[in-house]
Amino acid sequence: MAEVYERLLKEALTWVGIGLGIGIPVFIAAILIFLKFKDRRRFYSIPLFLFGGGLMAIGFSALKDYFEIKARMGGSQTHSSNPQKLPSEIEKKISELIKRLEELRARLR
Amino acid sequence: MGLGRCFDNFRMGYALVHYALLTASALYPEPDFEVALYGFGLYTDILLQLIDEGKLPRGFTRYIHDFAMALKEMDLIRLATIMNRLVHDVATRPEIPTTLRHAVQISRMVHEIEALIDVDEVDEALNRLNDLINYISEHKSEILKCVPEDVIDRILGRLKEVLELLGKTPLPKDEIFARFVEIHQEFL
Repeated sequence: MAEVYERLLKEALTWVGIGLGIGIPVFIAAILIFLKFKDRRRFYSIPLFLFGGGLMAIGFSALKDYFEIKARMGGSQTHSSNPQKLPSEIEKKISELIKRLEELRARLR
Repeated sequence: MGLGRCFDNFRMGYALVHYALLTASALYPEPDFEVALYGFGLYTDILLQLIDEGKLPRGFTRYIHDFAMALKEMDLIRLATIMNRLVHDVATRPEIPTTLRHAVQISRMVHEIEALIDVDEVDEALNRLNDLINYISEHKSEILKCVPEDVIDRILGRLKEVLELLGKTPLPKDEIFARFVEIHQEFL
């Protein structure tokens, strides 16, 4: 399972790199073009805004996935540690089930 | 049909789920292709035999093809989905013999309990154990037509031991899994 998580982590990191690495510079370029030009050249920034914004959205979504996978990996690690004492509810459930199993065994004999 | 032949069918149903899960579990944490192919080979043999004997419909051959494709891509989620579809199909189709239905359901539940204990989900494992006891209670007369009493008794005895071990801290997983191996051996 750890291997699957690692593969997903790598995949998410790749998309973070592509999305944010290209998306942020393109978005900044779009802002600069928008601020620098006051004539019709200002409209050139629109496709750049869309392209950069789209890539950034992909990057942030991958970043969110990355943290979710990280949290899940952490979660599965904490699960593996055994509690020192069983909660009384579980103890009760166990003794109830043992009783039911014994009854079933007796009925089947 | 005598108890012997009927029990053989039950064992095949149990083994079908067992080997499908063995194949899937061989893929992680480190893929072990030798074990995966061994499991897949037995899963295929059993499925084909059940189809040849007319116990399962011809259409079930797709569960071999789909399983092989998922195995090739090492796609655990798809393997699990195929397994669930197979179990669901066996459980819901009226033309499939009851023996097989019970065998597949019992095998699925036993393996699910084992897997839940493996990831320390004791509470959920107890719920599934409760479901298993309910299932055996509900269908005991049909199950007893195929499975010898002493086998059922031994399995319930092992499950009781598992329950007793679940009450210990830290969880003696090795001892628990040894009990599950004994349970599987009753049918394999």
